[in-house]
Amino acid sequence: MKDSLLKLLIKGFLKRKISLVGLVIFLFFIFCGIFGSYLTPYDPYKTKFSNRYELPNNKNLFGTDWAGRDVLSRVLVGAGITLKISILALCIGSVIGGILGIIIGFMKNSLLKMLIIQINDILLTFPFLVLAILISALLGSSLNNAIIAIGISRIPRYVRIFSLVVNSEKNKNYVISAISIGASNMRILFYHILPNILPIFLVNTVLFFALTIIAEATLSFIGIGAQPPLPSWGLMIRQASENMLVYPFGVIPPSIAILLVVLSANLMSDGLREFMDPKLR
Amino acid sequence: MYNLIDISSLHVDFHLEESIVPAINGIDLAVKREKILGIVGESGCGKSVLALSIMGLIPSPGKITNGKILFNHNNSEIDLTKIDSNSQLMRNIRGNKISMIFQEPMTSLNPVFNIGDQIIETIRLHQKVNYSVSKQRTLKILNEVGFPDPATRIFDYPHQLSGGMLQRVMIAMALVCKPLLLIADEPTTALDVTIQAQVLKLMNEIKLRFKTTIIFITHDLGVIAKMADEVAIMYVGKIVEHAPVNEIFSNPKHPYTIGLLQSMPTLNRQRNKPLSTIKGNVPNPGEIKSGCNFYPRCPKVMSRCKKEEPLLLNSSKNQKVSCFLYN
Amino acid sequence: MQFLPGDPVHYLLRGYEAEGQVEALRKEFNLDKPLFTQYYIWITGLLKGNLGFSIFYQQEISGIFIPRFIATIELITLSLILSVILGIPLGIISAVKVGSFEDGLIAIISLIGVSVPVFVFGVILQIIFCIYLDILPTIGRVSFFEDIFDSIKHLILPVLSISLGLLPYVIRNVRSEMLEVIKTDYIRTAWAKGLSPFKVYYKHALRNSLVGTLAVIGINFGMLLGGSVVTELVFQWPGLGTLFIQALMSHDYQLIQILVLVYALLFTLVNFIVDLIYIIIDPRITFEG
Repeated sequence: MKDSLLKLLIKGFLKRKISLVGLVIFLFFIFCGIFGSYLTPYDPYKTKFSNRYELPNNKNLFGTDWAGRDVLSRVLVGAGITLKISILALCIGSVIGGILGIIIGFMKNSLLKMLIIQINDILLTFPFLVLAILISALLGSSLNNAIIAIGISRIPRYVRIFSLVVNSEKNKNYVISAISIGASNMRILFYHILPNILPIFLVNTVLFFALTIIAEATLSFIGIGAQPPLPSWGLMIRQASENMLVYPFGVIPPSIAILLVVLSANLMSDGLREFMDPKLR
Repeated sequence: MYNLIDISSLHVDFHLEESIVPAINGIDLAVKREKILGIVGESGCGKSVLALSIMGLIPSPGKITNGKILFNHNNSEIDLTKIDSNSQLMRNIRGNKISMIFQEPMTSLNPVFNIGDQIIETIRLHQKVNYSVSKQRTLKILNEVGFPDPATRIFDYPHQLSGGMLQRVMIAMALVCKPLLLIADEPTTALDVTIQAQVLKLMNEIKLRFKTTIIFITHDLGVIAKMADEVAIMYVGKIVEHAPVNEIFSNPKHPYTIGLLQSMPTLNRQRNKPLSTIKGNVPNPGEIKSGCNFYPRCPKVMSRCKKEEPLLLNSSKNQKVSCFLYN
Repeated sequence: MQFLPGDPVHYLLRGYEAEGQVEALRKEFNLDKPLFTQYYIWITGLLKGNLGFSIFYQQEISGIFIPRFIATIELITLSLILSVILGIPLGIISAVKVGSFEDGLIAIISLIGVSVPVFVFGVILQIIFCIYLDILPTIGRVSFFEDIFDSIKHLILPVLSISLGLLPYVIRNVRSEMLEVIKTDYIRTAWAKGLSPFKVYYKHALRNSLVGTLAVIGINFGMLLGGSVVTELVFQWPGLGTLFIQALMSHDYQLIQILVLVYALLFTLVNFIVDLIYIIIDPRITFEG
């Protein structure tokens, strides 16, 4: 059972053109993220005030910023930052949220359980962005704190997903029969229940990936996330916008970078969802 | 101008992704004024598409690919196939000169508007009268269709009414502008039998009182027996027999008609005889490439039937059959 | 709040602290009392209309609050209206012409719209309209009562910016609801009555799609709020958003608390209004339902 659902999902995903385009762009992004720092033509931190505000030319493919730094190099390293942030934040969110959700799902129906679920629902109604901004600012403005803040903001959603699925699955027949033949709780969890969560988890995570990137960019833009001179894309846009009177072009490269990556995540998510829809009905 | 509607050589095709389905495959039909024409056929034979063709409401990917539908009124003839279905002209005809009611009254009225407003909307759409006059007419027509207690219930919502009452509302809405033609597509199929009888009685009254011509579409021969003046039997997109109602029941000619009549369970038939059926299945439109559509199932099939298509021709004064047994 | 790192008094004094001064200020702001007491003082004050005292601005919060509140409400309501006015027709066109070029175009624009953070819209709009074309002011707000035209000129870009963030969601939702509604029997009846396409779509179909559309607005109101905070920053709009960010940066606890409360209340209010509208629009839903 666990193989077929996942396999079906992947097959359906690959069949659709949109998901494929998204996947390609996404893979390109991951490649840049991992190897970006080794591929930079120039040192992304090296300033050269004699060469500021250059438009794209032979030497600097994306031009230079207000401090004369090569924008292409910064975008590449920025990819790595973005990748690192999203993965870490999603890990925090999904692992903690997942564990909490599973625990809650397994709990017997009681007042305590209802209370916890109610609190979680209230947290869910809070806009993700505002929550992230709040937590991040209170922790102190830094990249790592931004990661933690975004991760924490994601927890309620994961808790909900996991608790709902575990709650509904634990009463199903195949679990009861597994218990009756003496399977241990852990085994039931990993072999039987979790595979059923996988499709929903996957679809949601891809979506959250997109939201996380936007959140990090927003936090950096506000000034609560990555601090200069880190080439976080959001921060780059902020710095470029401060100089927009003299050098409006500066906003373009990081914006397009964000656009492409988030777009790819959305395309993949749409492809997955399109495939899942008729099945869910 | 004896005929209200004259359909000749009508072809309607549905352009699907991989094929073209001929839902209506050459129909000639004349609808006489102030009479009830029953159109009988099984699911999929194209009777609803025929009705929608007259209204100009064929859903895409369907299109009229050939033929004429002549509408005779006001001493003039309009070919309905030549009018753009979104044009002002066609919209003036719908709901006003030609109305249609459908099978499921429970879902055929907009749930967020009350029934009174929906009827008033029809009136004010086609006639230049103010709100209070429209309201008066609405109350009157609801009364005439036997809707109980219109004055109190005129502003009820569809979900508050039963199927029978909703169908009366639909009929009221269809008739309020005194159309020349009413097309009823299986109006009683979704109703309880007792309500069915009431609605049928109502429709007969309408024919007499309003002098409306009615096209009554159904798969139920029993209903036809009660209602129709003339009957046209449809099979896979074509008309196979067209005769006055008495003739159809007393002297059916086409083997399909005979089969239909025989398969109707009647009260006085012998109980231990098995129900008779027509052998085989209804073919998909376009499946039979040559010859008569019915030949695979026909108990009286001849070799000619597989090769040539029989035409709908007069077999006697009022009757038309498309079968080589008769012409 | 007080568990978190970052001491407001230290921020305020920023290097000019002498031991005694820190203690004295602490006392003034009640920071030396136990947590529970601080909360008690806060809530009772709240009920009396005393919103507290902002450490950063050195004045009563109630004084700062109202004009900023109005400014933000301005942005939010106008953006909501714009998103709906643009989104509904686009969604309907998309649904009516499913699979066509127009539908594809609208879908692509929507996709791009959700793939970009709101502030990017703001910044790009600034570059186009303020720098290249130089027809609109970059930042700031002018009150409606002072100068209508100038006020509008300042409003256009921020409102447009926030709307572009919400628009794709509205379009997608309207489109999917309409696709369902168009297939129904009662729409077929509406055609059979001879109604014009405009009436069929905008009167009969839309009314039924509204229920779902409202839901999306309610759910995405949070996004709207988030978007407004950032947009205020981009355009230096003197609203609650910029106030919030300032308060966060300076660890102005009193202010932060009030603002979080306000956001939460706003949220609840909007959801409540959405529920109310449901009841009005759909006669099948009553108070018992």
